Amino acid sequence: MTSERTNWPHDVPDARELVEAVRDYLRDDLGPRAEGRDRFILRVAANALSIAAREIAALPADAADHAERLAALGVESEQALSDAIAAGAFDDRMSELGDVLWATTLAKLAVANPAYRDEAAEP
Amino acid sequence: MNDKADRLAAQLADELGGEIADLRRLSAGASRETWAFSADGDPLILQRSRFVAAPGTGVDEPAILRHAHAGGVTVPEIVAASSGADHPIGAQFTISRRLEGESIARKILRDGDFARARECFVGDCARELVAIHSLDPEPVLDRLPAVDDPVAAQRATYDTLDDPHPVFDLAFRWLDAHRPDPRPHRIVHGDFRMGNFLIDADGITAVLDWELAHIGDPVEDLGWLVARAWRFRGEGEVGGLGTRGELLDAYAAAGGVEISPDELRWWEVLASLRWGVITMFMGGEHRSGTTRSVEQATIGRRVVETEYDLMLLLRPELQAGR
Repeated sequence: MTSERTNWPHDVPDARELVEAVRDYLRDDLGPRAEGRDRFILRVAANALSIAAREIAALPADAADHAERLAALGVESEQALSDAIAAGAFDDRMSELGDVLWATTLAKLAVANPAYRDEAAEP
Repeated sequence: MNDKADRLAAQLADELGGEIADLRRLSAGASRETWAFSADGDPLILQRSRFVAAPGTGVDEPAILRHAHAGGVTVPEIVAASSGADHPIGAQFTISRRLEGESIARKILRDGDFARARECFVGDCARELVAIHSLDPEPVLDRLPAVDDPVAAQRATYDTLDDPHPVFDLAFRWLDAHRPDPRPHRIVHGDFRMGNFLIDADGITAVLDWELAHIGDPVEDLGWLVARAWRFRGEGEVGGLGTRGELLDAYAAAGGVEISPDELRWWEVLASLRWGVITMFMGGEHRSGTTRSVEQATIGRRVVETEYDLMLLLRPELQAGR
């Protein structure tokens, strides 16, 4: 499967495809031949590379969406949003804040661990 | 056997007398190791640490385990222990009887051998929790730390990590504003969850891992037990088995205090937040170079799982727009 190229002027395979190649080797080739703790660590390592591959693919759109959501709340950065919530600045805008935090959380989870999502429990 | 194991076998023989056999390492962390062996045929477990915690911050685990054992909590019997001394086996170590049982959640939740244990899991947890929370704290007050404000304790760690997580700030603010009436402080296990029990076909045979024990509000242990992090993809809310309501009923039936679902929810929010702060901390340890490992690095990316759990737990407040 060949995806659309977005990494000009670099050559292909692109960063995501290289990471996936290493992931597949660890998971499908080396992993089954390893034993005990090595086998476990190889599974963890393959999972780490899957996260990296998903982040590479999702980052341009995720970063743009995130900046837009922060701007809509009137804050300049993740740190500024944290500080404002801690100071109570959103206490009377809870539902608006909730929508933004929910969108950000889902975007992060889709990269870090999509299988964790439990849609039956969601609003 | 390698040199390290040979040396340890000789040290164990000096400590216990008798013939040491079947010595093998079960796990090794940065500062803590667990070994299995037998002495004159008795199956034993050694847990040793390279470091002793600073006075007032750490837990004297052997002292707490002996106190819990005497008080009827299902814990392994201590055979030998040392803490703070310049001992060849380790700065702090415990040798206890090796009990039969499985601790791996995946097997306990799914293997046919544990069908009966799964049935009585919630009741077993309630019985052990009531036994722990019924212990007299007085004799061990100087052997474990006291946590007077568990929200402030987590907030302090979060602030130190200097890594903004707006969902955590929201949870801290909600916790501060909705504190339940304080309960009389008791001995709290601090890490009472699936993965820290030995379980055989008939149920819990040992409550392990007491290094986070402290004096505090006993409902903390119930909130930690029901957090999603310890369900290991099981359907149920209590370590993957049973419901929150069943746990509260079983705790009261075993002689514990009556706890409302709202009070439990407050502690579950704090538990999720605490696990979130721990995962942040572990990822940070990798980034700073303190403990570099692929395992530690990947745990750092589990922070969002607790953000997701917190968003679901705080859903009523967020939807009401309060």
